[in-house]
Amino acid sequence: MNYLYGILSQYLTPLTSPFFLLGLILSVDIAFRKLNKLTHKVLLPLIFGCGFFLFYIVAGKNAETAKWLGRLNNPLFAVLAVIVVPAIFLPRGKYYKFFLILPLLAIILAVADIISQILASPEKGFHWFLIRPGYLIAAVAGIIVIAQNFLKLDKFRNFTRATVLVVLLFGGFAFRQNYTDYKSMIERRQNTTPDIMNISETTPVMRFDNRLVYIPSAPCRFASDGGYVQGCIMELTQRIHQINFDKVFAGDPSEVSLLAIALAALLSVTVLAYIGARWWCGWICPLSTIGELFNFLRKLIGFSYLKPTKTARITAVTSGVSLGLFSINLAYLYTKIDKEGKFMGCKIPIYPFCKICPGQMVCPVASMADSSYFVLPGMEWLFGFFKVGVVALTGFFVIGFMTSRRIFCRFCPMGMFGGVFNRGAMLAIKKDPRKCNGCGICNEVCPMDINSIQKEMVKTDVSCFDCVYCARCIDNCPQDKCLSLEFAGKRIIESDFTKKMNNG
Amino acid sequence: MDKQFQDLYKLNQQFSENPGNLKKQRFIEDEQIRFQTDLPYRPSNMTYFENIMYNRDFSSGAKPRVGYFCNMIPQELIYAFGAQPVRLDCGNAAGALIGEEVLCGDICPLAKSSFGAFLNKNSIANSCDILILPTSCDAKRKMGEILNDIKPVFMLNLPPEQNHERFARQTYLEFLRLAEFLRKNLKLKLSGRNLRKYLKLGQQRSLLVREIQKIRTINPRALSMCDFFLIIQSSMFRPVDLEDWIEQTKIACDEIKRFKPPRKSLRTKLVLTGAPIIWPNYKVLNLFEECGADILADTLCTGAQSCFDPVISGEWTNGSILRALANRYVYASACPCFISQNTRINRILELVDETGAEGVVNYSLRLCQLFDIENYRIDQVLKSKKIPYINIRTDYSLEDREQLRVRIEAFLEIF
Amino acid sequence: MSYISVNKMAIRSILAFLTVFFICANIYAVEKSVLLTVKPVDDTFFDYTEQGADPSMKLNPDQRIVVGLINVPSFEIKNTANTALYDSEGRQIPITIDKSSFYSEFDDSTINSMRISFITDDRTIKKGPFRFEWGDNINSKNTVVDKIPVFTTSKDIYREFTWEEQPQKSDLANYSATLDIIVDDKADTYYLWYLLPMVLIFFMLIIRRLFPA
Repeated sequence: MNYLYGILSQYLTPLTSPFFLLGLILSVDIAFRKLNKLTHKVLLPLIFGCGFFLFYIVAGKNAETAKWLGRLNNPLFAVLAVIVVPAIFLPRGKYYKFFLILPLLAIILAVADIISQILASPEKGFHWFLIRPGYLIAAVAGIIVIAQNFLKLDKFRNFTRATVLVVLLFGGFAFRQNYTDYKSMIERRQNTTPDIMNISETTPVMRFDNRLVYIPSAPCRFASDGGYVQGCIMELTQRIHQINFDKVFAGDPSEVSLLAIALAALLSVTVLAYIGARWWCGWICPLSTIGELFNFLRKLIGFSYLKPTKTARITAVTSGVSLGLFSINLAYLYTKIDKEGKFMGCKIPIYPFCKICPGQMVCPVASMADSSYFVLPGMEWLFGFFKVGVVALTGFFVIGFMTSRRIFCRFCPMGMFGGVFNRGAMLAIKKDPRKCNGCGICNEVCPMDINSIQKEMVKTDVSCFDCVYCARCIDNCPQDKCLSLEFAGKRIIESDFTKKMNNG
Repeated sequence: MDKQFQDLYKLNQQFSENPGNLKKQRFIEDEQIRFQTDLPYRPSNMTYFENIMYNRDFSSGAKPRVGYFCNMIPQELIYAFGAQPVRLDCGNAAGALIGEEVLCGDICPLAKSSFGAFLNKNSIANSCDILILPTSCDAKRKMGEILNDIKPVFMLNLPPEQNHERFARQTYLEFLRLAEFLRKNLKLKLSGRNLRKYLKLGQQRSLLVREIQKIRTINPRALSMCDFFLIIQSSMFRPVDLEDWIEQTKIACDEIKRFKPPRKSLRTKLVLTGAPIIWPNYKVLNLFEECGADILADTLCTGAQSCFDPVISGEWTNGSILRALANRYVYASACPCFISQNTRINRILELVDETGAEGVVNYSLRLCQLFDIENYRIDQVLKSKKIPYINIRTDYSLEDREQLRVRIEAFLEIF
Repeated sequence: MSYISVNKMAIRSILAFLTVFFICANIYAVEKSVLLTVKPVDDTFFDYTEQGADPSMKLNPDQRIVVGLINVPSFEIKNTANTALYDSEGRQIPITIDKSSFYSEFDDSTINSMRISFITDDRTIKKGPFRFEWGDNINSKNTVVDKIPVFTTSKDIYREFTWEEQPQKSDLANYSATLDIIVDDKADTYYLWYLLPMVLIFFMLIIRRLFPA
């Protein structure tokens, strides 16, 4: 297994670059929109792929370029390019079954890796699953791609969210690279049971295995052993603000490499955002999945949801922006604290945003960290602004999801980063205005309560800043082929009431 | 709940004892029955729908009966209360003559005819327990108070504009008030389970209508437009068991699917739009059938369009179902009583594209200001898109049949 | 030949070319070097000193100990034996490597930065800069100690060095010619080039927003 992984990582290295994924999707976009012949459509991405491989090998000869390129590499991009993108774009004829061998292979390899690690470890007894991250990501993507063939949109979306939630929340203590990794993690921890990690325990982990891909929403280090899966973009922003630029210009190697890591991570996030816009809000974000549980509770009780008024929406957005900016500024001020740890008389924690983020409360409880069963678990900074902040925001999170569907997502700064990419990036919601009868069902089922789709009667592109691409509007639209979801020029989903009802 | 009408000047109900007129009404109905029975190809279970429609015995059934007007009243809500909804828009020319005796003569024939039905003791209108009217057009708006002297009336206040931001909440409150009215007057409770059940039945009905329309687009001779209208209207204008109706329609649909035309159809394909065409007033449909054209689709509130939009609800709480009903019945409507024509024009153009029709028939009733004024824009739009059309503006009366025939034949010459 | 089979042949030939390229590409190994200029120490040099004199050091009065940090961005070795130091006349000088200063960027087994020391004399220093080379094909015996000690009692025998990167040799030109544009001349700020793709992506976003296809 190690040998296989070595070979795979060596030859598939260009695939793991985010530029490969970006270029592939752009070439597919151009191929689908501008070219007409089928052979041309297939050739353009293929030519791009070969060209990129060549470029990568040639660029790799120069040491600095190799380092610059290499820092961005992550198996996530390879998995997206090889398993997810073909699953979307390949025509669903009878030959599609042959493509499905690839995700199946990924799952088999992952299981084989787990088994081989279990057999190879000197310690007997259960010590969680040991698996390399590359295999893990490939297997999860494979499961989701295969499941898509059997499930309808609503169930498929819930299935994806649940799977991703499990992996992101429990990936911390459940999955480890190999036995030595597991042992070194145990040694670093102050307590060996799955629990929220201290910052000192997380920092070495962040550099391990080049884990530079940040997804713009939780999970954060507040999941059990979550330092392993650090991924929140707000944390990245705070780290960037805490880099000491004087040291950087003096050439201090550790500070320089921190900045390099942070910039590389930012670039990876930008590439992911350009490709997927705010899609992860609707399909991946674990905070929203947990919030949906509250929503489900509300449906069970039978209480009808409250539609947020215009005032409520604008308040949510502006307060989200201002709170986000304020806490990032606090993060910057952390670098200016004096010996007592105070700035202008106030104590500031190292990552102030994390102290008011509801994820700090929600992730530990959801991932069953040991210390989560005390009130405001394990948090050493509960005073003044932060105490009020975390209680208020967690309250807003719970009450918001319980009464008003996704009003919290209008407030979330991580979502706003994705929202910037909603218009003009690869994903778009398209509407044929002539087919619309103005019923407004799209607004009714939309968890973000967007009414621009229903109101727009002239233009065909109706993507907007708030849309999380849950595709409920498309699924429920009664007029056939009125609404559709387009990704890189190809229609993925279309509203088709007749077909949907006929299939039961 | 406050009352909409005060009983200060309540009048007594009068009946018109005019046996000659009643005979004339029957005669008109019989003529239409004869015409339809002679159509070349009809599905075998057409008699089921005919029995529902031609039935003249309107004695009250087991369930309380709720009469309503227009296409904006949610049938599913009435069914969920355990009552039977019946649409009371009347299409009988002779009925209009009776109505003229009481109401003014210069109003819409539909209004006159529907009111005329109330003057007949044994009509279906008088067999209802309560009535619901939307404030769609002037005639219906004013009839409400007049009819309130006969039966308890609920006026559903429609928004003048189909604008969700301004009026969605008000419409929802109106529907809530309707539910309250039904509860109080019928002395029945709203069953959530029944509401969901009838919602699903309504969706099935919508699917069947869409399917039949699709089959007719490919194969217009499989089912005549008159029969199609009969099938649809039998589910609205008479007390019917919705589940039975759906089952029979499914059988008819399967049969129509298997129909193979003996030769290629050279008849002109048209799209119909305009004022309601209600049985037995199928004068225009009969004429097109005889003159050699097929009407493939329509935007009429008494035709395929009435059942085309399904009610889709995101959640299953009563509140969201009421909102969903409001969305479908009020905001998706193509009725000219709203200030913007865009829904209707979009629908016409979309249907022309989808069905590959060659022309449009713009049918309006005399003395209806709404359709008359809308005709201006529709003419301009169709002209700019170079779609041939004919404006037919007529009454219920059967005297101008031959004049219309001449005009229609001239119109069909251009194809 | 039909149109479709021409395309298939094109694809097959591209793939064949790629496989060959893959195989050949890994064989080629390259050797790199920097020039070290020796200079007197500054004040911060003695910040991590040990007290006392080193009893084991036997030096001539004109010999100097040069200590410095090799943190060239392109420096990367897997084994301490892969480095060598030459003076301006080409003679190899043995180096002592400080194990505690090893720094690995990716936390794998390659070393990206280390502290070295070597013994030389003023005459050799005056002759010119030293050349420090590293590469997979270099094999020299270098001493590795846990920590290079610097003693305050004999301050004047210590010297520091600074490095500057040599321009690329001509036989690498055909591979690096197209890439020189990308590399910044301030070697350790190359990571700022991450901002270029970011700007491009935002630019694409704005263009697509203004001109929806």
